[in-house]
Amino acid sequence: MRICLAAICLMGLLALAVGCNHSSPNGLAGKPRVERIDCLICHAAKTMKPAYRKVVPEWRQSVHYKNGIACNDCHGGDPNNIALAMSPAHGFVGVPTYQGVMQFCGKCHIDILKSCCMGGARHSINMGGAPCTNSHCVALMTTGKGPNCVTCHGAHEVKKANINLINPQLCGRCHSYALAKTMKAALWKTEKKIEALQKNLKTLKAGLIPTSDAEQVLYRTKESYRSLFHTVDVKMVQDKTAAYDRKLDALQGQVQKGFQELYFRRNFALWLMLIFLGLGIAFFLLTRKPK
Amino acid sequence: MSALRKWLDIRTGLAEPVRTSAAGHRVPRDLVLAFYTLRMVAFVAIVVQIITGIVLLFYYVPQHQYAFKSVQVIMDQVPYGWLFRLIHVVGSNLLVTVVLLHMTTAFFLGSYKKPHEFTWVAGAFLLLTVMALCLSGYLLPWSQLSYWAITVLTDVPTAFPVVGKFITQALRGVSGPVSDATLRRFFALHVGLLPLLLILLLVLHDGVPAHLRYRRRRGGEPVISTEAVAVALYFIAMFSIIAFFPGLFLPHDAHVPADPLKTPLHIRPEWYFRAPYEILKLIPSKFLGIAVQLVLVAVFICWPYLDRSRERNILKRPLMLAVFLATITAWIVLTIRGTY
Repeated sequence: MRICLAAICLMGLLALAVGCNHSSPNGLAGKPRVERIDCLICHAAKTMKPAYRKVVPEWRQSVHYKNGIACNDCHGGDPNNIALAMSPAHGFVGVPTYQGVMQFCGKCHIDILKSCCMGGARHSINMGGAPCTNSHCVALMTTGKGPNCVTCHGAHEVKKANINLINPQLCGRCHSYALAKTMKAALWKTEKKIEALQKNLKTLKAGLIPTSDAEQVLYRTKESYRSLFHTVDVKMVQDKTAAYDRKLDALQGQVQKGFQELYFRRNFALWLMLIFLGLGIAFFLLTRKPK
Repeated sequence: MSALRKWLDIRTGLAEPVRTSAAGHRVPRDLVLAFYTLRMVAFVAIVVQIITGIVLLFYYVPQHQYAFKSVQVIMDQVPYGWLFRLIHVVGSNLLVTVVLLHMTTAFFLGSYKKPHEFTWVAGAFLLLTVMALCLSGYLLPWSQLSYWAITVLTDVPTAFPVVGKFITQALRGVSGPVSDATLRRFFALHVGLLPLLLILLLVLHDGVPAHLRYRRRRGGEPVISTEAVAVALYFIAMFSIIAFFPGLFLPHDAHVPADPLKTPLHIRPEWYFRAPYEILKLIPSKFLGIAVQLVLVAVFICWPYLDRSRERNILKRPLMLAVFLATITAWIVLTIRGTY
């Protein structure tokens, strides 16, 4: 019996020790998919040039990382084969040129690309027949010094976009803040509405209230609105904002109904809780001996 | 409190009948009264699961094309469907918690010793049946969470030579991946075979040794008083979770319909299966991992026949106390490891 007990005790302690210290042979088990790429083997190595090495911690802080976007999703190559990780035959494109950044990011952010570059024959990104009127794009393509995506959003450390990206420090690097300030004012109310709706839908979702339809509408509206902003055409933004506001207000109405249901459910459950509390107390008292 | 008691008694007249019939079973105060109440809580929890399960059966469709949709309809369109489903979901987790605690306290207090060996064995099978019920019910919503958890689980027996593939095929109903046939099998198990087994084991666990259990003692505390409080606490816990954390046991993947072509990033079982799952991951050989666990389950079931010492007080048995603490700690550590 004692031997049996000792054996089980030993097994328990062994499991405890292994559970505390276990690491898989290649150190990858349990890691998210985004970390299981061979690019990191070299880029995170100490022998790598500091400029190339710092992209890894920057990327790990980014919104791309949080959404499972790995190196190969932008730069191409085979992430599961170190020999082919930088092979052009496997789609590796490396670092884009300064003027090519818009097209590089636009592989995924298609609508934004269309707003950044509204076509034209004056520069390389032809999206349509009419000349591009986007001042940022024109400056970039004609002088080679205008802003591209990473000027505002950063490269590997790219954060989730929000209206505070329009600020005197960032915009003031190229021009006066006055025009950007007008744009920010035009966007402010609608952006805040979008933010509030996102927060409310998150709360409803946590409360198991159905939100998928509303989420889809909000996502489409938000993406469309942010594309509009990338035209950097203040007048166009001001003219079209009212239509977006109406759409968001209608969505807010749906969200309010969702909150009514959430509060009803919560209150109902709390009432049931109180009923059982009362029954428990009553039964407890009735079954006790009187003094 | 006595004034309130008197007020209740005058208006209901129930104090005397309750006291003479239900409150006859008393135990001394020093026997850690709360431990004795888990039996009743487990019983109430099972009844709650059966009632809410029957209500859900009115609307649930056990076919893979409609299963997920029917659960969504229960949640969003059926009047108070959300309440019944959440009671069923939260209740299943609370039931496992209560049964686990009940077994743990029974072990700690040495309640499995002669003449209660059979009660322990029936209780151990009851715990396994409750877990099997949870597992079979897990697939029924046909979500990404359920589909892939059951895929992983039904793949486990393949580690066994000769019979492994047969067991997997028997569980899935087909030789390929989890499918409609699996759903129908799990549904039949969940609403037919396993509840019957559960009731049978309940009778064996509580009914057969009744002459041993319900000895009337003089003095002491009526168990029924504390049981009432414990049952009330069970419902308070349940409705608190439903009110404030309704999604506690329904993570994101539970709201996404099953997609056999899209494997989720993280597949992990429910919290009560995480320790065994971690053991499987830690032991390099899958066969060895399962074999070790089967041995541990067999030891768990047969424990009253392995521990022949007459001493009930675990504090006087340092080695047994070490086993108890090591097992509990290992289980907690492995569960936490499986969670993060």
